[in-house]
Amino acid sequence: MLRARAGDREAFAAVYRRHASRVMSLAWHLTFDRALAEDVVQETFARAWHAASRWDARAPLSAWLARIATRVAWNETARAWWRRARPGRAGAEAALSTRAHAGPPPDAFASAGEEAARLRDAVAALPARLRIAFALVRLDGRSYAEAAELLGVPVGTVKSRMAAAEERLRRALGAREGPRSDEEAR
Amino acid sequence: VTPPRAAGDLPAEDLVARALGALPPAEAAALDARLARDAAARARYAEVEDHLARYDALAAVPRPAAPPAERALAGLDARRAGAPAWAALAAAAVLAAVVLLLPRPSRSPEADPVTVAVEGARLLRDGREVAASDARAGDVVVAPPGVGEAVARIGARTTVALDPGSEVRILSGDESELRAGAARFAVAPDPKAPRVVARADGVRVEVTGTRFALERAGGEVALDVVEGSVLVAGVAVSSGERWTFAGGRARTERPVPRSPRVSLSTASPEGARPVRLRLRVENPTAAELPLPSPDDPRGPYYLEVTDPAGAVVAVRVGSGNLEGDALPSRLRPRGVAEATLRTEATFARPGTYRLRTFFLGRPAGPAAPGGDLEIVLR
Repeated sequence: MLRARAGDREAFAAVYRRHASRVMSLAWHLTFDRALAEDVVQETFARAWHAASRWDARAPLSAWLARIATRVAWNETARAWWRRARPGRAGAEAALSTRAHAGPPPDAFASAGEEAARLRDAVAALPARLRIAFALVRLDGRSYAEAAELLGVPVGTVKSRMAAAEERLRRALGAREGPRSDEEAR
Repeated sequence: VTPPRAAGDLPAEDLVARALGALPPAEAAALDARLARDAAARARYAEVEDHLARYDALAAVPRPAAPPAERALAGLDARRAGAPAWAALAAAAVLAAVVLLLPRPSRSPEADPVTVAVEGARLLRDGREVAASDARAGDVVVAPPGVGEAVARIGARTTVALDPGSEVRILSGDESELRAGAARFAVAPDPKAPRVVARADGVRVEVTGTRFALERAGGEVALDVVEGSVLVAGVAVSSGERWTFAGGRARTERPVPRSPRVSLSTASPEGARPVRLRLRVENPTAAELPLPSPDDPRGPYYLEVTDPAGAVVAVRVGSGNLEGDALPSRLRPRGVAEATLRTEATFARPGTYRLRTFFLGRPAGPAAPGGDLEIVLR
C-alpha cells in the first residue's frame, strides 16, 4: 500500500486482489444485493486510491478499507431504506425502491431456502443504523469493538443498536409466522 | 436508541451481547449467575439466543465474487492524476456507456471465460502478442496503423470495428474499453440472455442491442449513437445524437429535448438534526456539473440553484466527509447525479439556470465559488 500511495497502480491492483474478497463479503452482508455490493467494492477502492495519502500506515489496511466500505454501503442504501420505511410518502419512487431492494438475484438465495430469504427481508426492513450494526456483528462476524470502530460510535451504541435490532427482528418474524403456525396447527 | 428491557431489570442489550459472545467475561459470569436463579430471565435469554441463532442461515448464503481488478480499477488513473473533476466523471461516464450497453454476466465475472476473435488486429498482453484462444481480461486488441479496419468479437454479442491504430482493452467477457483511436460497437440483442445491465438506486436499465461509435482524440471523447439508444451516466442518448466530452464539459450539437429537472429533498428522518438535503439532477444533458467529491479537502460545501430571475430554486449542503454524504464521486448509470425526493423544483421557465457551489473551507474563511452550472432550455 505504501507503493500504491506513491501512485503505483500495479501495487494498488495487488492491494485490491488481496483485500477485495473481504470487502466484497462485508458489502454483501451489508446489502444482500450483488450489483449494489459490487458498486460498494468498486467505490471503496476508488476512494481508497483517491485518498491513499490519508491512510495511516500504522493502522491495519483491512480496517481502513472496511471503514470506507461501511460508509459507502450506508450511503448507497440509506436513502432507499428510508423511503421504504415510508412507502406512503415516497410516491412513485416507492416502487423503484422496492424493486431496487427486492434482494439479490434469485439464484443467490434459491438454494438457501425460504428461511434465509425471510430473514433477509426482515433485516432489510430495519432502519439503517440498526441494520448496519446487525449486519456487521451478526452476519459479517465483527466484534462489538470492531463494529464501533467502523461506525465511528462508542461500543455502548453498538450494544444498544444490537438489542434494538434483535427485538425488532423478533417481532417482525414473529408477526409473519403467526398465521402460518395457525394453519399448521389445523 | 432506547434499549428494550428484558425480564426484570436485565437489560436486553446484555442478553443479546451474551448470546453473541460479546459480553466481557466478568459481566458474562454475573449474568450467568443471575440466569441460573431467575427462571423468567432464563426463558427470555433462551428466546434471544434461539432467535439470533436463526441468522446462521442468512450468514451462510454464499456471497458473490468481487469484481475482477481489471474492471474494478479501470477508472482510477484519471482521478489520481489531478484531472478536473468532470474530466474524470466524463471518462467514467463514457466507460459506463460501454459497461452499460453490455449484458451483465449471470454468474461471477471471475468465472467468465473471455472469448475473443480478431480479424486484422493483434491481441497484446503486456506488449506481447498472444493468441486469441488464450485471451484474458486485460488484454488489448490493437489495430495496426495504416491497415484497413480491424474487427474484434468480444463475448457472444459484441462486435467492435477498430480504425487503424486504435486500441480496445477487454475488461471481461462482456465489457471493453476504448483506449485509443476510434471504434464502432455493435451489441446484438438476445432475448434469452439476462437483460439487466445495471441496477442501482432504484434505476433498472435494460438494453436489447444497439450500435454506437466512440472516438478518442486530442483529449476529447466523442460518442455517436447509430441505432437505438445508449446511456451515459444514466442519460439516454438517442440514435442520431453526437456527444463530446472534454475539458470538463459535455456537449451535444442537438437541442436537449427534455428539461432537466432538479429535485430537492431531505435525507434525514423527520425530526432529526442536522437535516440533510439532497439534490437530484435528472437528465443533466446540457449540464456541466461541478459536483464536489466527498473526499474534497476543501471542506463543507453549499450548492444553490437559481432560476433565470435569480431566485433560489434548490439548495444542497454537504458535510464534505464520507458518512452521510451520498454525492457520487463518479457518475454512475443511475439516471441522476444524485437521488432522493420529497419536493421538487422543475426547470420550467426558459432561460439560464445556475448552480453555484461554495466551499466553506477549513478553517472558516471567505466562501469560494466551486463552479457554476448553466442549464439552457430551448
